[in-house]
Amino acid sequence: MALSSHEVLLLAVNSVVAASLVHAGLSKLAVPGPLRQALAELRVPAPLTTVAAVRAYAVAECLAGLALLADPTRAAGGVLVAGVGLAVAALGVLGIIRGSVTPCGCFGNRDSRPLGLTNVAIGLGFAVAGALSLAGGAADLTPEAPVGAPALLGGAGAMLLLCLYVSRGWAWPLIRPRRGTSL
Amino acid sequence: MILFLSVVVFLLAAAVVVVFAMLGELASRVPAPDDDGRRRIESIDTAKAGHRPSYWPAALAHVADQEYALVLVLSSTCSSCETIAGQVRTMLDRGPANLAVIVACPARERGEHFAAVHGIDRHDALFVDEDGAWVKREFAVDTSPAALLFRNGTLQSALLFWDLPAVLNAVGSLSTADQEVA
Repeated sequence: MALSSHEVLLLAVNSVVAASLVHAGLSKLAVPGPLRQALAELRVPAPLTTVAAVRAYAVAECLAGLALLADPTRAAGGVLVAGVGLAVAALGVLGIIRGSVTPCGCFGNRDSRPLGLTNVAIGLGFAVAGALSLAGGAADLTPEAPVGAPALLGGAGAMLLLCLYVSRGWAWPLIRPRRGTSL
Repeated sequence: MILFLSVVVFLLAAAVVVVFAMLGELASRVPAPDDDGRRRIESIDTAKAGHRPSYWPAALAHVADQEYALVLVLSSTCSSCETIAGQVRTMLDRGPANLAVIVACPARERGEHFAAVHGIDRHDALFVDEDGAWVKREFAVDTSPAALLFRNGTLQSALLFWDLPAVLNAVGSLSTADQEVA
């Protein structure tokens, strides 16, 4: 099955976006604390900053990412991804307006940047990716071109790379050599 | 079948993400290490203390004439040495006669590149030691970063260190005539 350049682009975008969303969702499911603190700093209403609310948001992120990887759910995934992206961008704008200084905890980590311009850019990127996926669904694509096994494998690879990048702050000091180096 | 294996790979990657997230949370609860670990100094017991080299490379010839001299052994493959090399440059710029640097490296080009990157290549008191052959042969020192303290050309002490000011303090307590070095 030869893919057109348009399909390859859509496959790559789907994989990276799905990996980012699933990574962010799973991390927040495991460690919801940092995002709670960031939301509380932004004076978001208390019912929306509970552990359950953060985990619900994390589940939505995971579902949005996973939906992009399967053909029957890709269109719904596109809508979900666009919605999540706009929400992230809105939080970024709120962070800028209110001068957030608490790490956003987007990936469950406490050494991340505060909510701000980066989140706006990434959120808008997600929104564009969601729209691309919807447009791809309307176009006449090869069946299962941007989904299925290639998308899953691409997503897994991207997720592992992202995991290494996000964890570099605490992982590198643990693994770097502390003994003298052999000459 | 391929789809099934792809799902398995994706689930494994997801599990790795969860484990890393939990480890990151645990790491954030560990108090930040103080400077004690970085400032510790260990004696290199296998070094040939009391040994006087049979041969001095030209760049280190002046060391033999000093009552007290400090030679730092850095490696082009050692991460701590990167930081120390930057600190040593400032000291070398002051030009004390009783300080020299040995850069041990797998190949001469890498050693010269390391010295150039950290700005210590313009000093005469720099010896690029391929494979650390001279240091290993003469003093049985095979780790870095190491500080070799000489008295009248004889190795008095060999120390493993990670922080330059810490080793300078230690050297100050070993010799009384190295205030110029410190």
